[in-house]
Amino acid sequence: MRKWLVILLCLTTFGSASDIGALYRKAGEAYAAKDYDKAIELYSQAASELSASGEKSFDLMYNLGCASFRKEDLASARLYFEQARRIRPLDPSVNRNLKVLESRLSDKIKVPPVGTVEKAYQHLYQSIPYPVLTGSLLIFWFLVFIFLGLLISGRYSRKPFYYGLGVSLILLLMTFGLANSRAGELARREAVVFQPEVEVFSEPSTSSSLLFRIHSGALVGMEGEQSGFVHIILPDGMNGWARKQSFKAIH
Amino acid sequence: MAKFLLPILLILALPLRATEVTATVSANPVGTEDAFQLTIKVDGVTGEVQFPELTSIPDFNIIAGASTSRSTQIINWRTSVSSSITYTLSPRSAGTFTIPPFIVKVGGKEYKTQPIKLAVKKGSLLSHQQSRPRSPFDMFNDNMFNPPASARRPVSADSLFIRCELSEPIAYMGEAVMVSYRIYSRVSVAQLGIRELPDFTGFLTEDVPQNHVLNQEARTVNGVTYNTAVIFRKIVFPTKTGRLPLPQPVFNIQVGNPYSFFPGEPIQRKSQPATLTVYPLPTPQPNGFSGAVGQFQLSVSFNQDHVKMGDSITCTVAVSGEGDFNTVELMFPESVDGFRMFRPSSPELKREQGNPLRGVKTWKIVLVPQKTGTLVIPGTRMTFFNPVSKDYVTRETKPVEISVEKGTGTATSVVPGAGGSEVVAVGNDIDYIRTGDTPDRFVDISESQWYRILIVAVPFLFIFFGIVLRWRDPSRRDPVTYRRTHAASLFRSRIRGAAKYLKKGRGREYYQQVSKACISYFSDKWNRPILDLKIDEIARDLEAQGVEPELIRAIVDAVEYCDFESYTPSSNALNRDIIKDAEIAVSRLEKVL
Repeated sequence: MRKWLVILLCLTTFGSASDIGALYRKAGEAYAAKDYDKAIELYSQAASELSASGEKSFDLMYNLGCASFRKEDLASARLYFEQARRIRPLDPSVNRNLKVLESRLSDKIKVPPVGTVEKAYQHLYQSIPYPVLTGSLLIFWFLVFIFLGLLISGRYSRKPFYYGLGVSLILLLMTFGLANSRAGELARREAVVFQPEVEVFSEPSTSSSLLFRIHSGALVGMEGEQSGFVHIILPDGMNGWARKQSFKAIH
Repeated sequence: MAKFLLPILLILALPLRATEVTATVSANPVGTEDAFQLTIKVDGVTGEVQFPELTSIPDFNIIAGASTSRSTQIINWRTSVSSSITYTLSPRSAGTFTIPPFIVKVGGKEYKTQPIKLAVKKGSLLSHQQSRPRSPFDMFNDNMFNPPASARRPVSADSLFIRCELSEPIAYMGEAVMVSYRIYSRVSVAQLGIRELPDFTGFLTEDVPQNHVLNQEARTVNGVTYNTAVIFRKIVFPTKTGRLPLPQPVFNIQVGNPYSFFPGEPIQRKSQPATLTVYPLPTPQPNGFSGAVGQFQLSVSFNQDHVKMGDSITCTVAVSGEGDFNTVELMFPESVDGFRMFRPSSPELKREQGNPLRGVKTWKIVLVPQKTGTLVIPGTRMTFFNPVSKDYVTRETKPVEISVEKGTGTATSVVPGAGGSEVVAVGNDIDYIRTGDTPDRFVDISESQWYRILIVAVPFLFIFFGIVLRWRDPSRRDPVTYRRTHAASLFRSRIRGAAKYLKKGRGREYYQQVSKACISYFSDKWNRPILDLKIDEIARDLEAQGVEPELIRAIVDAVEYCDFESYTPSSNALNRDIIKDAEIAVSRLEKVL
């Protein structure tokens, strides 16, 4: 049902579908032949063509992550897998792959546990595809004003419109809450470390105290920028300033 | 008057002096163990100042900076702004060196500083030259606020130095070496701190817990006795071969009696250089060698050797000794015949207090017997490189026999799927790529402009249509039709008026309004003047239209009651239920009429 809804909302008529399909198939063949450089090149080409028409693809990001992993480029693999996870946060393959990848990184960063209620709520809004949430939000928003318009017209019996308005408002608020939580997750400023070792300082200057070092492939949150430095925060709460060029942001 | 005033104003508007850019050093000559300040200063700033960003200076290390400052002076009603940037440098070797000129942009114009010739001598000279400057506010010239002479006495390089000491001067790749930075002093030290944590390039490092109180120890160097203490320790593991230099951190030291009111001038000391010679591990490396370098002992113990079916036994594998414990891995069989084996616990490493290179790393493994009899747990082994004997050593434990008796538990109660065994993961890899003819693709509609336009515009559209529909409603144009179709809502609005009288306690008006609302309902419904309508007539007409007698009775009762109460008001409290009765009756009539 969920897949069906996604397909319904997905606009698959943009761009030249056959070209992207051909690139995708060729990249898959290159991957099977262990020619990971070629696979990455073809997948990236397909991804940039999609991106030009404002489209996104989970499959392309996921496959790019797999090919980068095979090339031992763990930082790029992390970046692509995280981008894929943003599209489908509960996909078992991408979560499994990220776990394998994390086990091979030099930095073991503890993620604080999430409460049961928060986890259940997270699971709820992550299980509904974002296009479905935004589409539903639009529909319920329209319904509210359709019922309002009918009530204003005063032509028909008001009772069913009052009920309709109430139900639409409740559904609108619920969908808004879920969509807002998911949008917040998507807008989260996160980045992956792309240098073998990055020094993190207490202030945006290399002359300040060195707090800790993080290594290639680590995932960090970004909070602010100043004079070529970015304020990073790790999932366990450690934070500091590091040079901006050491990171690539997740979009 | 204006003749005189103009030149004066012109003079006042002039800056104190023209822009001047200079580079100065805080001391010349300096010692190889000294740190000194290089200051680039712009006097008479006339616009934006862009100082050069120094990342390296030939023959010198930049150990701190840059710190900038800006000052404004007003002398004789004229202002002068100066700006400066300061770096702390330390020389790399002895000799005479030249600090090159620097280009500074002031207000878009480039200025060049003069090169500085700097003599660098071995050891430390700086403390000899530094003396406490006389305060310009010290007008009484007494010693009350001056430190005692001992605190101001210059500290020579021989009196106070820091050495980098290694547990071994020669090591193999991956071997654990303790690096200790030890202070040697013949003067009292009030405070001690490291300026910046050193960067151990070419080594993996492990922190050693530090004591808050330094343990002092007397040591003799070249016949001279010093008070010494380890300031900072780290265990390092070389990752490449050759002569690897250890970092030379700079320490901030305050000389003087720590309990004195005058602790003395702060000085800086750079650690003396030290190198570690690292040899590669001999080849070929034996099978099972995980990279562990050191001297280790391996032991395996069980909490019991007699066990009943269903009970568990705990096996403890311990590796003790001296070396790099991070590379010591558990070499226990992945499965043991006759036992269900649980995943080993996370290793626990305990280091010796006195010698952090020594320690014990332990794993605990829980085994549950699956059959009775004498079961054998095979021995385990580990291979490591011993840097003392300079060869690879393999330690092995003997197999252990465990006697399993019949007990309350059974194998089937422990293992799901009797007669088989659980699937054991033997590898760990990522999932395969997504295949197919085309990748999935979607557009995030929330990011499109149309989505935002729809969100904002459509509500107005629906409300506008609602207003248009209302405006074009034919019933609203014909008052007769309008009154007939809206009789119930007109009734409700009149009843709301009656409720206001009820709130105010005006009984007469209240009952009159309720009665009028009921009669007006029929007047609107049948388009008959209100004055022509009497309740008896209404009842007859309703009867003629086939309305239930009980409903007719309800409306008649309500009206008659209100009429009676309005003309013969009683002292009783106002009847609130009459509104509800009238509303129920009208809503029922609305369905019939």
